Amino acid sequence: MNFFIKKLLIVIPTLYIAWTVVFVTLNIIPGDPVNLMLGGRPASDEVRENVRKNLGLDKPVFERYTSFLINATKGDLGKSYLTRQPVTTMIKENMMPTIELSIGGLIFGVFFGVFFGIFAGTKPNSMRDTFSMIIALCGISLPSFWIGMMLIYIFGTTLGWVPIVGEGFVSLILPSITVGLFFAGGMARLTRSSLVDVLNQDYIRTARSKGISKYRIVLRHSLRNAMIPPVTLLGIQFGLLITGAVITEEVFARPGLGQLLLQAILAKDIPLVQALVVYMTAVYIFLNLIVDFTYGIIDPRIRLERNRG
Amino acid sequence: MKNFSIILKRFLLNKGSAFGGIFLLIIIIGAIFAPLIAPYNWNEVDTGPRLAPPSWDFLFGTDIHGRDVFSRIVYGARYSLSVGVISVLFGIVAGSIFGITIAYIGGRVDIIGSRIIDVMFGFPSFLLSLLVVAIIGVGLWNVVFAVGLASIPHFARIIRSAALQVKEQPYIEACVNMGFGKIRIMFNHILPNIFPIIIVIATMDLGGAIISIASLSFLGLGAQPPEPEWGAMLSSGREYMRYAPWTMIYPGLFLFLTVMSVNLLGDRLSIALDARQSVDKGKV
Amino acid sequence: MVEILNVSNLSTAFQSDYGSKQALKNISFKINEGEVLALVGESGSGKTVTSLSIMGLLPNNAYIQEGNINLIDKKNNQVNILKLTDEKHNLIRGNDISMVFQEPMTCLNPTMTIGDQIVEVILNHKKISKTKAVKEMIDLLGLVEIPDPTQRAREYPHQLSGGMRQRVMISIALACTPKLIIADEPTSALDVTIQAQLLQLLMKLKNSIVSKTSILFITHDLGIVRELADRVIVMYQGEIVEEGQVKDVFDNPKHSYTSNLIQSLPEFKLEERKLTRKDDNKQTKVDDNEIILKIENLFKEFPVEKGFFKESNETVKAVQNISLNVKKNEVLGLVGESGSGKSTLGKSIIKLLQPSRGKIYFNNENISEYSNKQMIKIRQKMQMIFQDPFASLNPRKNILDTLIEPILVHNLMKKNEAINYIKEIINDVGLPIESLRRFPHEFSGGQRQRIGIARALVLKPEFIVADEPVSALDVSIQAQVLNLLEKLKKTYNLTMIFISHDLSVIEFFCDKVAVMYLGHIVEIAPVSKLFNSPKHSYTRALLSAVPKVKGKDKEKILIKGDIPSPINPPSGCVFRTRCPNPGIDCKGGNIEMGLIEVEPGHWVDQCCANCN
Repeated sequence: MNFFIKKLLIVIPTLYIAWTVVFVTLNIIPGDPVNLMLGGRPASDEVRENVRKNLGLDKPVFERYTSFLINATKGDLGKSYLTRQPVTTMIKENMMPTIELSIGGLIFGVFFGVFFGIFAGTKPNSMRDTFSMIIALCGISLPSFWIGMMLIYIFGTTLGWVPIVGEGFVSLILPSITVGLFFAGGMARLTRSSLVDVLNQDYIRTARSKGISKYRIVLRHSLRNAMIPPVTLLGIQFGLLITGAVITEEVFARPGLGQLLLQAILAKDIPLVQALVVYMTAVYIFLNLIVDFTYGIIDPRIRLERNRG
Repeated sequence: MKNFSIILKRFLLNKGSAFGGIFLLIIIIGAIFAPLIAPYNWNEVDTGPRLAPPSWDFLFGTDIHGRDVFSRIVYGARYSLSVGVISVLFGIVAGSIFGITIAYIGGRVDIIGSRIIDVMFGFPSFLLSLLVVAIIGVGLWNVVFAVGLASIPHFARIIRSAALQVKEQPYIEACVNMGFGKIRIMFNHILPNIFPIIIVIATMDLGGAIISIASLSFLGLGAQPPEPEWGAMLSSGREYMRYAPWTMIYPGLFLFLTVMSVNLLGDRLSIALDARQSVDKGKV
Repeated sequence: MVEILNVSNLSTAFQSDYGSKQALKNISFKINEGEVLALVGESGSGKTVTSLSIMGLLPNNAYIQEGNINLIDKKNNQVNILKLTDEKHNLIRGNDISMVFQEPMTCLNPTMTIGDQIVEVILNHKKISKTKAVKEMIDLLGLVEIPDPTQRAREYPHQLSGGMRQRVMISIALACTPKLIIADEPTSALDVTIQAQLLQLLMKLKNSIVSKTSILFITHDLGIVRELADRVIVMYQGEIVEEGQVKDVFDNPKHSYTSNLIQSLPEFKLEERKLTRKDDNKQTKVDDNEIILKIENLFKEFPVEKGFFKESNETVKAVQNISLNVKKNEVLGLVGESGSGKSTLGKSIIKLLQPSRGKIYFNNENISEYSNKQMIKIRQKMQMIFQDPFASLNPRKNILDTLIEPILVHNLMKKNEAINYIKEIINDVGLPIESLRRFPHEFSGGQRQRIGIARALVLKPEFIVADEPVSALDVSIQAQVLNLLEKLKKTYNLTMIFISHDLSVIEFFCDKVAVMYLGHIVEIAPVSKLFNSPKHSYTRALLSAVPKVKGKDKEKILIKGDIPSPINPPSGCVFRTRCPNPGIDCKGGNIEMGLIEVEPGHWVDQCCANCN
């Protein structure tokens, strides 16, 4: 428990600093947001002043900053310039598809990545190692937008096996593969190299000297230790999933936060961009926190160190 | 020098790096000699019939504006590698200076510096690039800068930990013992020893940088039409995917093969340099 | 004698990009039931390859070219190990033949409990229930004298000390009552006093129930061979050069390599020196000299890092209240085990580490508070020789660059002059001039140490701290480097502090010795006095723990337990928790530590001075 609180105490300032960066960067964008709100229509000074007041732009920077932070914590970040809707509502409406996509990509990536990694790592320099690593290499070399389109073209347009648009589980298949492919490639390579490293450790040689079968050595002795670097990677890759959504949603014309973010950037809809980045950053940081916890489960050295502190 | 020839041999004889090396060579030659190789002007509208399928006249077909896809791809080669290299160079030089300095000076400087890196890590790097583009606007070089900037924390972190390891070595203590100044130690002693690692992570990240830049161009944030950058070409090719898939297939294919070659070479390089380090340590 | 293992005409080679390297050249030997056979050799001799060949644990790039290894297994069948498949070999590993490895830190799985790792080998070979296996495991832990076995079994390797971990390794090896245990340098990574405990344990086991188990004991330490082994095989560069009963081989070595090895031992060199009577003049000459280094109440403590928040007030009390003087041209030895603080003290003296408290006077100048900038001038006069020959030279610089850089940075000479000067020095350390153009990886360990010594001399220092300069070298190379250091000491008129854990080396090389334990000096005296009449309990135990080749079989003073952590040293006399005969006052931790001069020049910590 202590450890949890301590970690939280570090994470929260990081979050706030990140949000500060967001605020600073987005509020130095040239271009008057008032114009955007007015949609480019000419307006009298009085109207402009009103709009400015409504947007809260008349207040001094520091006040805007503090209210920004407070609102971010509360989860209320104002209204979109373009749609006039509260940004929180917009986020809520578009959340589910992105979450579905991320989970789909995660499952695909972890499953295939770890599988090929173990497949390769248990027999280094063999045919199956080379084969797996070539596939993994393709995974990290394929631009996701291209493979997305290729998949649509081959399986959707040409073969007609899979519907391209629409809701439901089936329509999630191709996008998940697209999002998860890069992730799977990275996982496979890291899992393999980590496994090979572990198998070269002295304690594996000790296990062999006990006459333990190779099968049991991999399963019981190596996997746990070998999974530590891939779990680290998982944390970073979450970021990929979240933002890989941007591209994949674009390619497959799916609704979601990625699409929303893109539109917001192109339209310079600052409140929306702000809100989305705030939200995504928070999710990313907290997911990494969860990943940190798993270390304790895997590695008793860390678990015991934590309990002592 | 026997060591060097062995490393070279290991490098060249491997099928992967051979393929990667040859393909990259082709791309580089294509980029440099584009005017000689490309049969048509990449920007001239209506060079041929619009959306024509691949033929002997137009190897990869034509796009919606009647431009030869093949020529555009050849000229696009100028962008693909160079933007990646520049972006990575930027990230790695900044990351190295930052990482080595905070690692060596240590103490509070290190703590603050690490916190800064952590905060930057709070953003997924693609998101960071998007943010930067949101601020400074769209355009190919803006995107190169954004991707480079976003890669700094990643490099800084790795280089910092490598520098910390080197700092622990007795020969660095010996330098302090002999009265050498901080700057001399950092750049004359620590840097040369982490150089192999720097090269390795730079080449490994090059592929990712190329993809990131192409992705941002695909989204319309990077290269703007009519630039023949492959990512941007894919964006326009997307609309005509049904009837003219070649406008989408070939640019993407080349992008894929380029990144794959870079990754292949990067892999071999890292194995070759790693092996050298073990030899240095007297292990073999 | 019943033979249990017969190795005949075994040849093993390694394949690499550099070509094929022969590790074992047609070796043959036998092991009899119940005997301890020592396998002695230096690096490159092939001793480890032999053990791995028997166990079938050679790395992928190694292959056995020819030969036979015949084992009489527990069921009395003759098995040719080399013809076994890996699966069949698994039936033998851990069961008929088991192995104990060198590095206790890395040989146990960090994510499995101790108990599980022992039970695993039992269940792998015996068809008994888990409960029975657990009981056997607890008994085994008791057999290897691990206190509180039920609790220990639930712990993880990182929670145990090095000595404990090796005991666990031994218990794993014994678990299925094998016919042969191969022990590959099992004590080399341990402190001397812990090593003594383990060797005694092995002797006990050898003479007891497990007396039918043979041991193939691989080591480079001839003292251990003499104490533990019945027969010995000497290997050199993949061949067996000598074989016989231990006493015979040591008294009458037949091969030149063996006799060379024995002669290189500091013990022998000491005897040699005593015969030529060079000592006496040396000591008095030094006594008259002035004091070049004076240390008063020096402390060095490190904060304990707790990961995220450094909120612990705990510190590692590496150096505690050290005061000593070093006279010009004197060689002061600092000896101690892990946690003694000797290395930290060495580094603090030359200000590689900033002392926490205390004063350092060098040539009567108080350098304690000097900043790095102020130290630059002083550093020319105080230099260091490092322990690890592989990590102490910058791999990216050739030797000339490494040696010339300090001269140029301090502006001592012009470049051409410097090059000539360096040529002289490289000659002095016994290396050819061509070495200057080469890089560190092209040299052997011993040669690299010579380069390290050359580097220390380049700035013409007066004072050198040598931190375990020969500990990482083979015995025969050690002797060469020590001779070199002696010669240079005279030529360059040096004063030295010589840090080592190896008592024989200290006895050979130093004039005065300080024995350190947990950051304190417990005894300091001229060499002959210390080694002939040690006064502190720790010193006595330390001296008796060292396995000697020529020594008489004296009663060993064993210290129990492990060295306490320097984060939480015992109060009062830090040694009281392990002292074999503590007084009542000591035990309570009431007596403060402090050195008392019990004889001229011979200082002992007052706790022991009062007891004895």
